[in-house]
Amino acid sequence: MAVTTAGVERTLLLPGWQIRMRAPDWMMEPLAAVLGGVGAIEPLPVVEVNVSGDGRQAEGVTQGRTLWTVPLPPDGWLALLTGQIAATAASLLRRLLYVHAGTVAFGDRAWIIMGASGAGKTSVVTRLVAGGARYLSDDITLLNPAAATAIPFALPLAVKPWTARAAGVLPAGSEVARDEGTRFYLPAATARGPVPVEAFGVMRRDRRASLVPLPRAELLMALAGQPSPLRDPQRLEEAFAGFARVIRGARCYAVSGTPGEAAGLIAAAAGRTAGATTAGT
Amino acid sequence: MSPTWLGARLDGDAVFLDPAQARLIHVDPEAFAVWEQCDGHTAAALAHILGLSLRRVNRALKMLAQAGAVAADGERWRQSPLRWV
Repeated sequence: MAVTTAGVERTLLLPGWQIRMRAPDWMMEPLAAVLGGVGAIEPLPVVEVNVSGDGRQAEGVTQGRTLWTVPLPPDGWLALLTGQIAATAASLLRRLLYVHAGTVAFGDRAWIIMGASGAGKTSVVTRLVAGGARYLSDDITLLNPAAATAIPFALPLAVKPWTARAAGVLPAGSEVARDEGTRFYLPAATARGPVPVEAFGVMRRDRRASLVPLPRAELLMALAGQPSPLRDPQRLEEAFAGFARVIRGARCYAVSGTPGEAAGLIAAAAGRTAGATTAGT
Repeated sequence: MSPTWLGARLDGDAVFLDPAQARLIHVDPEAFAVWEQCDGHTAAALAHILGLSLRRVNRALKMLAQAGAVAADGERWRQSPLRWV
């Protein structure tokens, strides 16, 4: 079903990517503010996003094909729509891989924080960045399998009220938009380029604070349960080989505890890793 | 098993990809050792070669067969080619 629009049209020119948006005027500024922080990714086809005149329905179209149609709630529409657009970009990638995860960098080593929705990824990422790590991404992590690097995809952190409570102090940065209770917050300390992947941390729902090694095969199986190109028949084999390549060179952990505890354990492990590497060179 | 299956060795484990079914199969070290020896041996021979009990070999073979990673030729077990990544 085509969405009937009655708004303004604007083209967002992001590095390697164009979004042609047609939406009510009042939606444009926050959409541009949230999406404008995305850095260079591989060239993607133009994505058209059409929002109905009342702002209650949106569709995503590329190359004449409607990819999705979603109803938009009055509250929370911005997170839903920008998440949908970001996921569309990820699904159109042909060289890079994506995973449902947040990523931070300690020095020149990226830690990828995975977990189911609601597991506390954003809170942990927020705490880690507030503690001195650089921000790469929140909900979608891009990987270059050829180089085993994480690529910045720095959409603002979507800080919901409970995320803010769990995260404590927000890192230095700026609020670029707000949608009811959700603050879209872009940390100042963002990575500017690819960062070699050092480790994966999979958030587990367990109240006990722990960070324990996770077999690499279990991590690959966990990836298959998350949105990734492993769910795309066209990319399945290449994604399998690419993820295996990245995982082989990375440490893998299961992490649990409160966001504060989990962030503390990750930061300590990253410090230990960096120290061990330095001592060994 | 289709010859288009892929496999990844990750430490002692292996993960197989069955592209036709779009599914991944986690093969633990013991099952992987059994799979590696499935070149026409019987379960009893596999148990002898690997120093495992017949019960454990049969358990691994059952899992591998259900996944489609090995097939029985009478009493002999065979793996199909798999491309490692």
